[in-house]
Amino acid sequence: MPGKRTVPYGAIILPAAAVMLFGCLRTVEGEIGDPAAMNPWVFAGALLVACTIIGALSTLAGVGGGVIFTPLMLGFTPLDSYIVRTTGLFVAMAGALIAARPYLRKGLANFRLLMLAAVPTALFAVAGALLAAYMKETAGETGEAVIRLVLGVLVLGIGVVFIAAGGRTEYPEVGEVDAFTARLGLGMTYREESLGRPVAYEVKRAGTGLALFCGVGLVSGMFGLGAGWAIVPVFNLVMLAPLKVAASCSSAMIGIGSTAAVWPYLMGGGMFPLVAIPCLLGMVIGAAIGSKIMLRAKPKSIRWVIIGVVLVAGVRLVIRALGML
Amino acid sequence: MEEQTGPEAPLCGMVYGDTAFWTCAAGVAIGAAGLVWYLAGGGGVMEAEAMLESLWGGGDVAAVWRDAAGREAPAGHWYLGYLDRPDGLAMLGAVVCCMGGVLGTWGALVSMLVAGREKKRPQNRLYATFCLVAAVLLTLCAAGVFAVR
Repeated sequence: MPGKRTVPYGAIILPAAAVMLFGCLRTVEGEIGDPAAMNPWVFAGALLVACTIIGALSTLAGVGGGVIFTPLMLGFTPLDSYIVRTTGLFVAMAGALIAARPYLRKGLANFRLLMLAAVPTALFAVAGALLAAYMKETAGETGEAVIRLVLGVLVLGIGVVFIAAGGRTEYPEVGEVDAFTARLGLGMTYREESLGRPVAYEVKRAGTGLALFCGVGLVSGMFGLGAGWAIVPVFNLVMLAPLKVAASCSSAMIGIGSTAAVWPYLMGGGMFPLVAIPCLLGMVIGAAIGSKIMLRAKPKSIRWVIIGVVLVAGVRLVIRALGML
Repeated sequence: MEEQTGPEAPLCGMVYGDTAFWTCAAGVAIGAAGLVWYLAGGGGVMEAEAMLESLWGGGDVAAVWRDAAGREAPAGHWYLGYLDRPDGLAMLGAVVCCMGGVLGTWGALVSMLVAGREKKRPQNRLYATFCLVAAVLLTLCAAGVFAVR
């Protein structure tokens, strides 16, 4: 409507959320300085608020919470990396299991596509988790530093992927489907609400996609990341699935991949209820808030806040790792 | 202009989504109850203040268990013997959450094999096989077959 003034929700809420997030982490960090004053309620509350913000931001950005949670916790708290990665995978998994239901009920998430991708992702996620546990047992302090350094570099790379993600296409032109993909019968139809009609689509390069999902699973399991940041580009840019289908399949798939990866961590004793449950509750509350804000906030401003958080966490991780080596 | 409706969503996907959602939601509720009980001083397996001190001192899993519970870190489903303790209950909630994906995958497989509408879909057996592989893998993980101790 001409002349109508709109409230810049994104410009107000998102920087405030980012400041609060760092504030919570500082609160948590401040507790370390005075162990005698440590209060489980303050600790759990700070984690709950931090994870609520992470959950809202990740929902708005369409990524699993793990990719923000794990680098931030490793970069800004002295928690053991094995415990942080366990919790990162756990919150990413729980968020995905909760979020996937509406996509599957509407038929937006292609169950065949996600099952095809889930098998290699889950297998390699378990391998990654076992590799992480092996490194923890054998490599000691150096291994801890190497994991933080590699994760820092990886997170900086993810920031670059987010910056380049503007190139994603809503409805990619598939053209001729290769014989292997055609035999799998992955094409489907979903109802596109914005167009008010069904949209039929095909995908291609299933073989390349499968190979890439092996790598995605390994990285996800080893570093405790949800992997939505990698799954969406593989579905959308490599296999040429429509963007909404790619995003909804990613959400459902993180649930399977992270479930496979979290168990070896859990069996290794890496989960502590005092850390995991406030984070879980925060992510669930944050996801609900994020879906409400989504209608008003501008996607572009959300993307840049996420990029900022990820890059700051990445730089901090690299600096800390170099200090440990 | 009359809007066109889309095709019916596959049943296996809906079964997976619903099972995973409600199992996870139940886990969240159990975990929240356990956490509140724990923070209210319910006398857990691990002493909360000591655990925090160890965690923030950068202690690893073994060190945290030693400092907070005065024992070696237990492997596997340790909480099953402590369901009458708040942290045991909170941990059960977390594990129930993790079971969402496992149960959902088995549910999807059953719907693929049993529901007539799914059986008619082309390549149903191929995707049922993928689903079976995923379900078995997740079950083995949940049973603790894949773990480094």
